[in-house]
Amino acid sequence: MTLPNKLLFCVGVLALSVFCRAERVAPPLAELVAEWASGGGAEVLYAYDRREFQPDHHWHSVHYRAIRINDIEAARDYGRIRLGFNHYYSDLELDYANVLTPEGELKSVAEDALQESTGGGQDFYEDRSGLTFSLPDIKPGAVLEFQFRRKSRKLSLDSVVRDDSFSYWYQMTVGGMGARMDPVRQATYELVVPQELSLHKRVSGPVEPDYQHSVVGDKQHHVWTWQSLPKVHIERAMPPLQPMLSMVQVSSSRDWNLVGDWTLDLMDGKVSTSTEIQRLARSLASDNDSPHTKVQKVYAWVQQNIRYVFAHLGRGGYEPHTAEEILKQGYGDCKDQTVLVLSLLRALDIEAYPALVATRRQNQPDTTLVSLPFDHMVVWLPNADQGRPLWLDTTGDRTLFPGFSSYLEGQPGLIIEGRGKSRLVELDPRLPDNFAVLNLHYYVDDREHLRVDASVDLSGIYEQSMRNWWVTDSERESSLRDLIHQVFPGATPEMFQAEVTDADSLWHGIGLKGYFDFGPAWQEGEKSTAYTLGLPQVFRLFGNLASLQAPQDRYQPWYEPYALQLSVRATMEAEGLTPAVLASGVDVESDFFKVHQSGRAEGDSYKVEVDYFREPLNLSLEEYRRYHSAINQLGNQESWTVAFSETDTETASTAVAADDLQSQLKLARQHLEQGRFEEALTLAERILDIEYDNGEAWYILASAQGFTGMVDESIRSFGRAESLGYVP
Amino acid sequence: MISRQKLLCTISMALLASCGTQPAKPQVAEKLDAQQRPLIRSEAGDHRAQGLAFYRQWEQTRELEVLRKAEEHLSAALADQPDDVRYQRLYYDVVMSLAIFADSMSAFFSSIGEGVEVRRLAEAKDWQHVLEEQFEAMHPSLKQGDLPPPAVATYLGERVMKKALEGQRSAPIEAAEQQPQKESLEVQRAALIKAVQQQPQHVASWLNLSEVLSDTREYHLALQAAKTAASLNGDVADVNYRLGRAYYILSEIDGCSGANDPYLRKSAPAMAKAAHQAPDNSRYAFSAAFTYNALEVYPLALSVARESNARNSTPALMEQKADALLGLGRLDEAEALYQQLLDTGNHWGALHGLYSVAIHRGHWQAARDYLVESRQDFPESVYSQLMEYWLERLAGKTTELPILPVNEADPWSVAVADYAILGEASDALAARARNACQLAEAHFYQAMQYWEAGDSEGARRELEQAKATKAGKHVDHALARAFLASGAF
Repeated sequence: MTLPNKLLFCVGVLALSVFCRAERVAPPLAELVAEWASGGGAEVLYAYDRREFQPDHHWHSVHYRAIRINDIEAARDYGRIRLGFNHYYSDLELDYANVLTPEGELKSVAEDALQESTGGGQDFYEDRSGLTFSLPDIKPGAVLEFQFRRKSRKLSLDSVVRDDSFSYWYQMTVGGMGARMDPVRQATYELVVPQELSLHKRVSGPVEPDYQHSVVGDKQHHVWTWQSLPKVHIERAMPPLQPMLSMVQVSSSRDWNLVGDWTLDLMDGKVSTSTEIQRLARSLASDNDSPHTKVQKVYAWVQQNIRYVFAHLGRGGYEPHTAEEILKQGYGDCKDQTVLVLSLLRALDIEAYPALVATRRQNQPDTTLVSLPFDHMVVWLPNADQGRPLWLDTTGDRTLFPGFSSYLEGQPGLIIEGRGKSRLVELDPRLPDNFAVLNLHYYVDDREHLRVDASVDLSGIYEQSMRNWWVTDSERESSLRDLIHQVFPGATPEMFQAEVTDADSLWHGIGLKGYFDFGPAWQEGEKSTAYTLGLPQVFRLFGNLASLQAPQDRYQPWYEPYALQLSVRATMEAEGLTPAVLASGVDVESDFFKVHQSGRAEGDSYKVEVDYFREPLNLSLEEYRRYHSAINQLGNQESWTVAFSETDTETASTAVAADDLQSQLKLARQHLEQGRFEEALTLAERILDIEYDNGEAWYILASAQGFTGMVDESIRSFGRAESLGYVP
Repeated sequence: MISRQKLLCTISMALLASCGTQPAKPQVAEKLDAQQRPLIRSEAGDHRAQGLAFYRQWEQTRELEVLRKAEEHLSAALADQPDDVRYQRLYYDVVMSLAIFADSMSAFFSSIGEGVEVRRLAEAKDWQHVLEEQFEAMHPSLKQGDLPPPAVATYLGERVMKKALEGQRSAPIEAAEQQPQKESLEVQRAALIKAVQQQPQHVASWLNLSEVLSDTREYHLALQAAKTAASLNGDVADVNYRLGRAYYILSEIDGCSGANDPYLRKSAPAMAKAAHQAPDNSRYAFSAAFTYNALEVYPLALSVARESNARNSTPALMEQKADALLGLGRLDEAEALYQQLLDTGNHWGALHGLYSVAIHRGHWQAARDYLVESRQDFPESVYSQLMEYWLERLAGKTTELPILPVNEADPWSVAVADYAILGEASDALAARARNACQLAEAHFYQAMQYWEAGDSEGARRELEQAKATKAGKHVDHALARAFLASGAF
């Protein structure tokens, strides 16, 4: 069926459903409304899901939700309902969608307020569809209800019967920037399977369901019922969602080889050993190259020649193209690129396998029972990195080798080493450390301007996020300047430049650089200056720590499953001037992080190192409150201030040394005033060798003699000075 | 028995010029115990905070244990970040206090069998050595300005000991006081010379060195030290006063100085500067007025004395004011002040002033009476006897030259007596004068001999010559001026 025809069919079915009243699976709406007292926000009064599997594993299902709107915010968010599905694998029919207005009137969705749309985002060509509709009179006090049916058309992993309940209604908030999962007063999940089917069940979550099992005819009936499922607040940095949900997972298998073998079936014949592939592989690397070099060369070629495009319309999205097709098109999605990379690597005698990965878009799915939680495919090389395994992902746009996202750490993956040789793993590849290092060089330039050159070294999530931002930000130049300026946010430099380096390099992390010229270094002619630095400078760039969510607004635990390090490396100098540390930071630790700080003089420069180390966080609300306070207190910690000034008077003293008598007398007096009595004495004697009747020289000599313990000589010399008429 | 608390207080007064009576602040550690476990912890930060807190607490309480705790914490803080000049300086100050304490009080307590804690502290470390090491390790910028050099600890220890002993009188104290004064001065002298070598810009060390050198009668060196102190910071009243004193002492070194004396001339502006910088210090004002009077710069003497007297009236200042008025010829005002002084029990200065006023006025009998009355406070002298004789003669009385109380050990006294007894008008005495004061005396006595011989012209000439000696502080110089002013010659 072509797409236009399909749309017509669906809309026809929908129209019929709305006006002909399909079989209702829920109690009358009025009963539901009467049963549950009104709460806040919005609430699902009743959730009903029923799926029935046939012996051939095909299925059909019916779903019902009644949702009461209690405030204007909820009315705004529920103004638009979207039912998503993949029309390659299933059909969807909306039985009805109504609203019971606060005034008691029941209104149905209008024909011209429902629409089916298809397609994905940029570079995605897929069979994903959505049925969207808006009900009339959605306002506080209204109760909306809708019922829809789905039926399988094709099966993806047909060897496994699998399903899970999801009683909440996941509603995108207005603007699409957030989501809400409102409380559910009562939910029912009914599963009907052939009597002979052996089924594994996994019940999880904080609310225990009632469970009923019966056999009717040749079918098993399983019914789970929950009461009062609590609201799930959707927040950033929240833990994996699944443990919070009270749900049931069912599957006919615990053997993940079924998934691996199915994947290999789909890839069968796609990984190529063709002449074209062989030729290409040989052109990329020679036999003399190390395995690691060969991998790098294949990675580079794919990065430079194969663009990421998900082109699977009418294909279901699981089956890759052949290596030759990919080469011909010059693009491919993750499966395609995996096929091509495997082809090239194997042509170069590099052992490599496909691996399925569940990205964070899938949250962190439980893998007790077999299902299809994976949404990404990469290449796994058991020995390519000097005998150690390597995860290779070519799908990024000019990403740092080996392209594997640091955000995947801890996610489930399935390495497929052959038929019957699949193994589930928790992704713990040798990912680069997550760090951001701010290097600062403070100095005074030839024009006696105070300058600071800043550069940022990034690794792990910082490198990947920055590279992605640079590619996607439409105002990246000004954004970059704003970002780098945060190193000295309050300052108004005379000149400021910022640049990005290695944004497209596959081998060097993206770098940021900033050049600050703060104008004349000296004020009022005084040749001295002071530099300050501290952890907040790098926090402002990368920490998002200055804008942590207020604990009182937080509902969920705080979850950041990555260790990270933020550092400042500063070199401060001002030629000819001596550094003095006027203030310094100290080592700090908390239950959540550690800060190490140190400074040292190196010649005329001073070097400061500040390191913030944070282990992965999974904090309860109370712990988050403490973490938030600890970060705030960290911001109050003392920063570094290093002053540069002229200190030594030695050079000034010796500078006046000259041949003439007056200069020598002046120097001798300076020696006296500087406590250098021996030098004063020697110099006075030398002056007297030149001019024996110099009263001042005798006086200086007498003073020096007196201060060095030559008391009698001192008295005689003072007498001589007086007799010469010298009065000090 | 002197208490340890008081001794520590004395030490701190020497160092910081404060010894509080305020209650002790709670210790940081106690505060921390009272709170929940801190959100962020910093061993080094705690050492800093506690070191500072204990130091502040010590400033209030002067408890030895507190000072020692401050040392322990700050030592640890410095070990963590040795370059931080704030903690370098703070630790140095703490160790300085410990070094002073160890150097001075441990020995003292040991001699009297007291102060176990003090002695234990002294034995814990060689604090002077620690102080020297810390000084060496400190940033050069700290070694400028007001940082007391390590050797100052020894000097202050001596001073503190002396101060403590001055305030106490008991058998053990007496025993401990046996340390010869000279030996103590030598220790102080050596310590301060080392101090100015260690930290040449430390004004107080130069100032204290000048005072010690003055005590050891090394007046020229004392002047040099004072000059260096003044060159480092001329805005300190104590420094300028010390400089003025150093000059003044040199002007007095031969027992006579006058308006022409170069040291006296340099003393006056330094004294005046000190008086200006510390207007409430009547001693500085008195010294300045006195020096100006000696230099016969009466308007300045009057100005300084009057200004200071208005703030803080003292008999000494009133006398200088009266002397300045007398020098300016404002006899009535001078007389009123002298009379006021006399009425308030300040006999000698007042009588001498009234005596001078009477001479200025030619009231010879009154002058003679003041002279005789003032003799109650001073032993008889050739001068006194001669003046009484001449004043009676001027008053028209017939009298005989008295037997003069000659001091045979004083050649000048003998010469004056011989000249007076000889009774012939001549220039013989002036020829034997050895300084300006003796010359002023000689011309005055020669003037009186000319007068007795009926040679008024000769007498006037001699009085003018006495006045010209500018021996401003000498009585005969003043008398010559008074006699000339009286119009009788």
